[in-house]
Amino acid sequence: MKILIVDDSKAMRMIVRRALRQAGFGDHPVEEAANGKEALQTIASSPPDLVLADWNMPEMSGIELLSALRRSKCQVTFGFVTSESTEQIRQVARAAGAAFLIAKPFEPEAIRQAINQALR
Amino acid sequence: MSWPSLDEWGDALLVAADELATWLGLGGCNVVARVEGVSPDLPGAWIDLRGTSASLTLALLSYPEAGSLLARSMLSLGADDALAAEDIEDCVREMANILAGRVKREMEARDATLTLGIPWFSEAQSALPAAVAHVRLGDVPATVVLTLGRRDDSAGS
Repeated sequence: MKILIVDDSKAMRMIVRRALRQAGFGDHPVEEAANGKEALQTIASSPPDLVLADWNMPEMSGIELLSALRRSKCQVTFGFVTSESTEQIRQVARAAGAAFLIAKPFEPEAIRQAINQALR
Repeated sequence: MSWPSLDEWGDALLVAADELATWLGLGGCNVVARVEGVSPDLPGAWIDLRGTSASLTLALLSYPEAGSLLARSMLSLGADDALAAEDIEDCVREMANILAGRVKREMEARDATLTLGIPWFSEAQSALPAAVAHVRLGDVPATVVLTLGRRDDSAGS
């Protein structure tokens, strides 16, 4: 399973990578992008099986990225890892086709549960 | 419906700071002093939180050594591990982002229109009228700040 982490914070990309390892996904190849635009380019050239994206990013937000992917008929499994965690945001994420939303700060167990449920 | 007071926003920020400090493995947040005044002239990360009720800017400020300690906690790095200044700033921005997201969730019932901006790091910010809490995130001294401009104040109603 190829995983793409999309976050404008290099530190947070490192933390998500670490959490993936701790959650038992350390053997899976991981790529990174710093915003939605970069992610679209990466997805076009090397389609992942799972996208883990932040919500608020410069250039292109996570929800704009998800909308663009669904418009182009890309059905990659998509989850948010974001500090945005209100019920309203969760509803918007679900309506747009996100499989899950993990609120920052998070523990590796949250990553493990969300991914396992989404891929079940 | 009454809009949240500055104290209520401050309470939400301290809930967020406690959760952040716990996540960092620092054992929670203790308030050393809580004052209304102006934001201290310290480096740190700022983030806007805009809604119908208020236009807020939230900050996490600290002396550079403390910022480095917080970043090392976030990245699980030891005292001797290399850490570039830009990576410390990135970590502190992300911590401000986490604080703002938690404040937004805490206040969702009072104002469901809140939106988060993109955090930015500033070496020093000119003094702004603010609610200030000097805290300890574990043993690390830091300051959390809220500036508040009421939307209805600016509209003059």
